[in-house]
Amino acid sequence: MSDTTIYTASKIVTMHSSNPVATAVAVRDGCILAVGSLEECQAWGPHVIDERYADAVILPGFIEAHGHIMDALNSEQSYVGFFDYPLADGSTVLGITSTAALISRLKEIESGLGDDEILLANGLDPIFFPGEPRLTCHDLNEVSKTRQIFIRHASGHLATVNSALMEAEGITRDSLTPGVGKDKSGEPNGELREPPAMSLASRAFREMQIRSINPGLVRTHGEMARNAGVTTSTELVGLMLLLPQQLEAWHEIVDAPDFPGRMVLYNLPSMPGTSADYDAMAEAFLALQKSDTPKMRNGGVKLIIDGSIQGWTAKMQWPGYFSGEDNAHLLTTPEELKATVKAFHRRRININAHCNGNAATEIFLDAVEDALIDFAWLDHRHVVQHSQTSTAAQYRRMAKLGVCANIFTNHIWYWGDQHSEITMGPDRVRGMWACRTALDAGVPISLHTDSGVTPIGHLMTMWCAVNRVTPTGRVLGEAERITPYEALYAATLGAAYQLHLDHEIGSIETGKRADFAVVDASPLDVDRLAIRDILVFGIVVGGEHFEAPQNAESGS
Amino acid sequence: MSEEPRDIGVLIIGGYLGSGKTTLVNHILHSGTGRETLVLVNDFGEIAIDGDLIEADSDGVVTLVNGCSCCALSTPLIEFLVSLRERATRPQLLIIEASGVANTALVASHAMIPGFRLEGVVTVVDAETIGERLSDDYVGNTVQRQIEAADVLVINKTDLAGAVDVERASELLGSLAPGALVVEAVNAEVPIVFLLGETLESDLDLFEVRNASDSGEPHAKHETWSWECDTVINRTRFESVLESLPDRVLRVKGVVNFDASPLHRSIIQRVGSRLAITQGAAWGSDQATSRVVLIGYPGSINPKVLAEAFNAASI
Repeated sequence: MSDTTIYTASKIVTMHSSNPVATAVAVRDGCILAVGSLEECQAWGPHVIDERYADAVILPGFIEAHGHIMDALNSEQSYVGFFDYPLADGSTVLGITSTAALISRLKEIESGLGDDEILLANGLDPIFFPGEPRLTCHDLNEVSKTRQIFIRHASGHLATVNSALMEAEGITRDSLTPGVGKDKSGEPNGELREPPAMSLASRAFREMQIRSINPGLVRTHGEMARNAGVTTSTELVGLMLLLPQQLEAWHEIVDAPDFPGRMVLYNLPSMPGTSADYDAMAEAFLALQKSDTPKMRNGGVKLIIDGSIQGWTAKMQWPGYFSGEDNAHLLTTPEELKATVKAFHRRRININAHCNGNAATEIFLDAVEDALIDFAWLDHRHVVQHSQTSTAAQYRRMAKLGVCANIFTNHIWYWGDQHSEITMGPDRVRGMWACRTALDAGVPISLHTDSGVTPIGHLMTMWCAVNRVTPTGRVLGEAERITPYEALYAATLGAAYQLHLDHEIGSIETGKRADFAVVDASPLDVDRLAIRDILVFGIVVGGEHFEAPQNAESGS
Repeated sequence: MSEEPRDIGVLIIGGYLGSGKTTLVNHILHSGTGRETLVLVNDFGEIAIDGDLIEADSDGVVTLVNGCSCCALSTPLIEFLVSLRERATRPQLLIIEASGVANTALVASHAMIPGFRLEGVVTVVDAETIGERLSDDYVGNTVQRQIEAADVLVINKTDLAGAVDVERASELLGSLAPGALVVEAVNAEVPIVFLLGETLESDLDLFEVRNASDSGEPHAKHETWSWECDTVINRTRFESVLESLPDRVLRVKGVVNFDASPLHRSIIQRVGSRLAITQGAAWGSDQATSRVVLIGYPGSINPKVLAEAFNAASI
């Protein structure tokens, strides 16, 4: 007979409605044997009692149903974004809030580099510096006149470089590639807009590319997830259909006993903005799933329908954007989307669609409706991802069609003020990230961080959904607030449901995997504004313990 | 200079779903281009290649006996291009089939990085549906951008559309992209050399082969005519012949031996009324034969008048 270990805790919040709160959980073979009082758990036979979490609170492990391993890049190269970013080692890089701060950070990084290294940094977001002049090569030349410097902006569509880089790469006033920024006298100013211009910085471009497809990032991502209490994370730009040669490397890392979590991949069936033979891709996907293990699975496919709101590339219905130029265009045609959705739906493959603008949501729902008429797979749980501007009518449609929403509530804190003042308008912003409307309509929801875009961690996404407060103290749409319980449900069982894994993970319930987040307080008990300050001690994954590093110094 | 690898020419083919873009790509794959060509297709499932044309099919690249090969993208386009230009054997021409919703101007900017040379952007539109597409809430702005970015606009499916539709489409395109060449077509059958921005002697060879095989076609959508001359041509007189061509002559290409620059080939390229003459390779020991080819709508070409006019330009 296998060994049974009983863990005691000051409180166990199970998210299992028959048995909501407990003080002990018995684990056997990596699965949950019993949940209740210590006596109840002891009644199941021989056991040892482990009191390491006796003073802590145990929650179901958080589930990030829309993550990216690219957040690991912030740990492995220099992050210069506006907001603080927690790294894999438990330290936090402080946000960059002015050009002067950027220059001094870059000088600090520069002094630690070897002679022939180039300086790559990532995450700069000029939307937060509305009063300041744009960053140019002249600012960066203050950091170094000899070393190449390449600063990639948060959007990924723009880089700012220094004169040393332009000289080495032959970027001059005569460069004809569109997107090479030039000043009034015609000299290049260091701005490289869009990938063709960015590729002119060939050495930096190549190095970024090598770093970004390194499967080793998944290891670092796992550590960042662990620190946030996440036991199952996802890669929503899975490349296993396009680059199947990566599969083995991923399995090797994730299946290893020391990898702290489970990963689910949603694979792109074609590069965004191109098309493919989707029937063939759907068959390839089914073949791919045969390699799934309990720690690493291929969950479904990801379709990208539009861009981002803060980049003005999300496709909005009338009346469009509040201010700024509407650069939106769909990355697929409504007709093609219908054919694509059908190809996967009729093979019972779960579809996650990136829809930031409500026009994107609309054409996705049209496509799902068509597919359902064609093929009655009712339990599809297709997901509108981001769902930042989905309307009340669209949530009613989602409920009828069985579509889920994974709502990007972190935007409330990270870009909420900008959405109010610049992109959506002070009135319309109240209806963004409409969690209350979704739940009232009966739509299964989850909350996500889009890790890399914002730091992984559900205590923050829950905090946003519950409070809807911005850095300047605005409350964006009090009427769309949800309760801490609803938010915790969305971050655990709600996410598991969307991954078609709610029978296995997402709650602390007999028969499920022993995946826990160990924290210092229950989000259901603390003041609502203190949810994001709850401390994560570590996680348990299939009965294995992974501690989060504590007390690490903040720094760069 | 000669050991410097030549830039890869790039032709972008765009157009909304259903416009006939893939038909045009199929047409190109079957016809060949006269150059080593790699076609980056959007969707292999829609590419119909005759089995006997296929020479090899491995690692996602299909190679045809006519010098064309095709593959689909599995990385971002920019990464593909950067790796392509570093290959030991590179194609002379890259044709990129853009997706139905692609911002073709952005795709075209990819061909303006070192190692590549943009030869043109072709946008295919469906004569019957273009008006509807342009006013569509979801894709109207996308279709408009595709038209505005085009050097050559192909109004396709003119056999299925009514004459009124074709005329209306033509007016719409003229107002959105006044500088572009507009060509009407059935089954996207446009002579390939006229889509390409560059004029090569091999293009002209290919064109003449096509021309011969097309002769006798009863309801051809285009007429072509070619002219050859072994004596030196006066540049000024030649240019005035080109200026006097009727509007319905769509495109002129040629390799000419001008009196003003007798050592080198002069490359002639006229799209609509825009004429470009550039210096080509030295004649060296080659026979300095001038060749010119024209394409126009039926009735635009009068071989007798044209031959007289061009002959008068020779010395």
